[in-house]
Amino acid sequence: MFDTAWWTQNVALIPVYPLLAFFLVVFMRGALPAIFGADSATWKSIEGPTKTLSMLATVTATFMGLLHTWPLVMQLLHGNLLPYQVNEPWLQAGQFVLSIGYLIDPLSVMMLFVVTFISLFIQIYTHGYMGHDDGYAKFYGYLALFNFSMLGLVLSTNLFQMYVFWELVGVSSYLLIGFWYTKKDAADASIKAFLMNRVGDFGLLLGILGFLYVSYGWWQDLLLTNPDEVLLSFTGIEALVTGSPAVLAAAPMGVIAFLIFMGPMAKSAQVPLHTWLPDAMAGPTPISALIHAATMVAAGIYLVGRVYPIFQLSPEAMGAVAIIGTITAVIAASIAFVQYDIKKALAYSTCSQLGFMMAAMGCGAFAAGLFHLFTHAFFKAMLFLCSGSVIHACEDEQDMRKMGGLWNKLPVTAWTYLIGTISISGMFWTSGFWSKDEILVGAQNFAMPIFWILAVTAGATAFYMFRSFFMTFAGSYRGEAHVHKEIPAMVLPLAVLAVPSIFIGFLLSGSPLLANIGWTFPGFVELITPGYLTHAAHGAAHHGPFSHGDIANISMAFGFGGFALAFMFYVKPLNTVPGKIKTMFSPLFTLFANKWYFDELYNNFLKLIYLPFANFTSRFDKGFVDGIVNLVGGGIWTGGGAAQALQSGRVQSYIATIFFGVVVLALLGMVWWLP
Amino acid sequence: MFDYYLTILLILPLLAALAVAIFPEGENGKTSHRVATIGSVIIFGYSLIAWLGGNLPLFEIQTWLPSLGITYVVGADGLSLTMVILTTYLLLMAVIASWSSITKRFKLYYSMLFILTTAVLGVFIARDLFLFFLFYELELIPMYFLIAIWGGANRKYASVKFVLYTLFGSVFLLAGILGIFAVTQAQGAPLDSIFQFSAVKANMTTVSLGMQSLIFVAMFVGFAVKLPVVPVHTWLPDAHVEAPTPVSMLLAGILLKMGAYGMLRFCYEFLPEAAIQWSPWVALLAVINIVYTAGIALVQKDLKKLIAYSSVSHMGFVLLGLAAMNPAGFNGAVFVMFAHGIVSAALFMCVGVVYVRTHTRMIADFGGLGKIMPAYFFFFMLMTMASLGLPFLISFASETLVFYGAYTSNLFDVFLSGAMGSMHWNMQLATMLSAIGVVLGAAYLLWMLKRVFFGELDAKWAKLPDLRTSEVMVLASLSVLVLVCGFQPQLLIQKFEPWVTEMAMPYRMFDKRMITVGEGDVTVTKDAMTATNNPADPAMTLVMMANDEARH
Repeated sequence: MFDTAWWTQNVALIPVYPLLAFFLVVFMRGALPAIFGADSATWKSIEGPTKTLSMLATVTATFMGLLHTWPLVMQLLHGNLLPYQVNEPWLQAGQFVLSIGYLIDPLSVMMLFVVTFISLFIQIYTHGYMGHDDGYAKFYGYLALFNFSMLGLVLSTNLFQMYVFWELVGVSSYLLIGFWYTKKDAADASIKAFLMNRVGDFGLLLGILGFLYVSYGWWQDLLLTNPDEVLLSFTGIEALVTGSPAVLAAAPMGVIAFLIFMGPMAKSAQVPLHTWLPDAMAGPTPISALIHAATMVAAGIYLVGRVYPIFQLSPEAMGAVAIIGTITAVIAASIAFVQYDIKKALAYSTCSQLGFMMAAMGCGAFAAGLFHLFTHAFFKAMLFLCSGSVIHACEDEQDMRKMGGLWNKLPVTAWTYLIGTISISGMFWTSGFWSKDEILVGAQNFAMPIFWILAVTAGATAFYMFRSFFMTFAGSYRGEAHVHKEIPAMVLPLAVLAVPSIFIGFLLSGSPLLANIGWTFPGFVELITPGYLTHAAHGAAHHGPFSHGDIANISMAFGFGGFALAFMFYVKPLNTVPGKIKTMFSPLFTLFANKWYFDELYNNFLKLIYLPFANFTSRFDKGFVDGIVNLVGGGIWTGGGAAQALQSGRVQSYIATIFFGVVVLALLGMVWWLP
Repeated sequence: MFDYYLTILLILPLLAALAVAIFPEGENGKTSHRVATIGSVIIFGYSLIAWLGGNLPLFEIQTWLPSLGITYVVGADGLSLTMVILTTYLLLMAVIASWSSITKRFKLYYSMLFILTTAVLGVFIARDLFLFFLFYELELIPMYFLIAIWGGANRKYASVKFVLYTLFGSVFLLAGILGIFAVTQAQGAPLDSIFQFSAVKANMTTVSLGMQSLIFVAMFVGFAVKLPVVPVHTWLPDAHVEAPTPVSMLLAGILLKMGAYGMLRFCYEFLPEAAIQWSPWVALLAVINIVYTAGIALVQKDLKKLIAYSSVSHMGFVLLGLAAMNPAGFNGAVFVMFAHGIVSAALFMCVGVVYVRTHTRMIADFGGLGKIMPAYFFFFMLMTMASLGLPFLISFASETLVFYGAYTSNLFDVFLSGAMGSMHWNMQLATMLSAIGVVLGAAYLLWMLKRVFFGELDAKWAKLPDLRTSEVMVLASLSVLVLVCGFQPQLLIQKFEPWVTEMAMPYRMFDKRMITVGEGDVTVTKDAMTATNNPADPAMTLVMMANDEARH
């Protein structure tokens, strides 16, 4: 039964497991207390077990997903993964059909692995982190809902389905950011995240519709000739762009691609739609690790990868993606310099790394962007979990100025944080090293300014990451809170995630050295690059001035530079040197500390433009539009005074009078109208 | 046995009204509540027979006033049945909601509710223009009393405004009906069937475009008041704010749909050519409806007014779907009607829940309710999410159809140029502007949710009880529909899709885009209209094939 094809054909089970877990949690925690009564003895006696069961159901669902993904990963590595897709019509009107299905190809298998693997360990970690929270079971329910949405997104066969799950992950994110909704910052952050993503989705929707519009006839032909295809399918998009580009020759593909890009811009926190991500740190830390670092925010990169053919049609769109990605990398890194909140520093780091990935996509380095997505997911999830461990140990303290000296008190956390820091800085052949190199290679093939900016930003990454490492773990403890011990449920995921953070980049690097250790599988780039891109790559022989080795040296040098600066500033004289630097570069520092004033911009837009506008509209509606009505009505009322005799005070007679008046008027109208 | 199925459907609510009137009210109206509930269950169950596919003769005809050409004809296609089931279902919900929110004059209240039901059902199944108009006007009287007697402080003003406004619309509707009568009679149509829908539809094809256009406008304006369309929408917020909760549920859930139903049935099914001529304006009104009222909703201080304005905004999607004039657009419009019926009824119910407990609806008075009313929070959140179009909840599928239909519609392109520059006004631009409503909708709903449920709890609400059983029944039942139709929209769509798709078929002739037929491309333009009426024509064959396919 469980032969090779079984795993592929039943891949739909992977998102179904967490969906069932979600329903189970909703039933147990929502319906059961309603049935028995929340104060009844029966409910009191089963409340505890339902909590545990909620956790077990969610974790098991994810574990089953990982088990199911594993054979697919093996097939991918061994090169015998067969691309496969199945579609079911979901929405039908006449001949217009939108479908939902699942698609198996290297890209989706890669993402399946990332999502199930990281989810599993974060869910185990959650048991430790949220153990004493009132909303423990609800939290697992939300996690299951998120997993379902994210896996559905990964398995999407077409743009419409992608949009469906895209919105669903957004809502899971909203619910989880606002998990502690009684806190004002969490409530504000949740709404901000949702709305900013809605702005992106607005563009995405229009982009999808625009693309459909310019190619509608082609799709109709395709569906007539190929009953297996569905509207807006990714395979169809590839066939359209590579097979019959003439269809799109006259279409404004740059505009369409940019509209589609607005979705990823919001979801993957690209400037200027990035400000929701740092605020989203008001949510519980496991969420920051899972949704706002490893998986959901990477969905934007994934979407760009999925519709890459559309982007390739327009050099302007590619350039815009590359430039926005680069700007995001720089701006977010600069803000990370001056953050004192450990989670905020990591959030800006995520934002910056997403900028790297997006820049790679824009530079045409398709596989490099996704490779960095892949490695980043592991080490950034781990870094966030480390920060959670620190925050948990320091009694909810998040300010790094009140930490320090935790190296001995939290050994596993400290070691794994160091590993993550080295990996994200792209040093010493850790995972981040390999993927960041690929990005730099792609960048130099595209445009040298972008290459240099990204290389310097890689150095900046090392600086702010080691800064946070030193502030947290080096020196002596500066806080007042009593430091607790690490909890096993939280330490285990850290240790597990450390392994891919170190090795997975090298194993998938495609380096010839791998043969020495008996690893014969192809590298990530080779596995993931689709056919249409390999053909294109043969044609384009453009290469930048540096060899692979040069680039490794350059990025390593920048990394060391960042490390050295951080060491100088933050290890011993903690408050003296940064103070001097602060005064030296005070305008810049102010700019960074105020996050480049993006929030002020949006707040002022809302406060000074949108709200007054809405208020004006409301008054206009009440005063003018309704005012006319009241005026006319009042006039009739007064005029009716002449017919006082008819005012019997009975509503029925009014209605009768009005009705016959109407009939007479209408008849008069008819006479006037008729020829 | 079911020879008079539809007539019995119309009589049942009247019998229920009679039953409520005969039985004593009982203590606090207990008996009235029970009788009304049993009655509405029977009505709902009875309407389910046809919905679940009992093979019934859903057409009845009786001569009535032959000298005036008025016949008693009732019939139900998929569209009518969908509206009928929505009506009977929401009636049941409203009756259950009345248990906790109505405190006086129970007999009269329920009688009015049932008479209202008969009128609305009559509107949806009438197959004769005069009969339609009769039911359309009949609905006003019980509605007037429901607002004027059981309403809030300002109920007199609101109820009179509601009646006068609707009558103002009726002038135009009546003018349209008389117009149809006059022109078809002038053409020599036989008097005895002149008001029947089937005859009207056939007769109108030969009427001059100018006359069709006039009739279209008259009828459109008539229904626009009911839908409502900006700028004739201002009766709605007032009526909603004053109406008691169950009446609000029916008002938003069903009465608005009479306007949409009328537009689809008369303006779009009977007058396709005029509809195309006017579609740039309809599209413009749709955009204004969606965006303008969404902007207003944001700054409402009264919870109920906010939901009322959001209703108007959602009705804009119906207009947008109609303006698309293709199967996706029309089906989307009908689906939005149904989805909004469910979701807005639930939202008004939610507002009623908090009003019964606190006697205030001001958003600023609340905050932090999520902590003490978890079940209420859950349902309110679910319905808010449904309202803002979350996937797998009912509205998403409907709005998706509207958006896709509207964006792929290619029936008009107005080129405007002037001193300020030039632009194209077409469905693509209209859809883009409407999509702003998606963002604004999320903004006002989430902000409302935040101010009511998030944050710290005000001490004065610390003792608010969570949902009562009757409230849970209503909200849970509506939630199930929201989820089921959200996950499997086809379950609902298939009930009306063949008929609604059929209504869109005449418009295919006018699509400026190439229609692909097997071997080659055939461009069908307006000039080719006469030629395409020939079934041998390939394009026409395609249309007919599509029709057949849709039926199977």
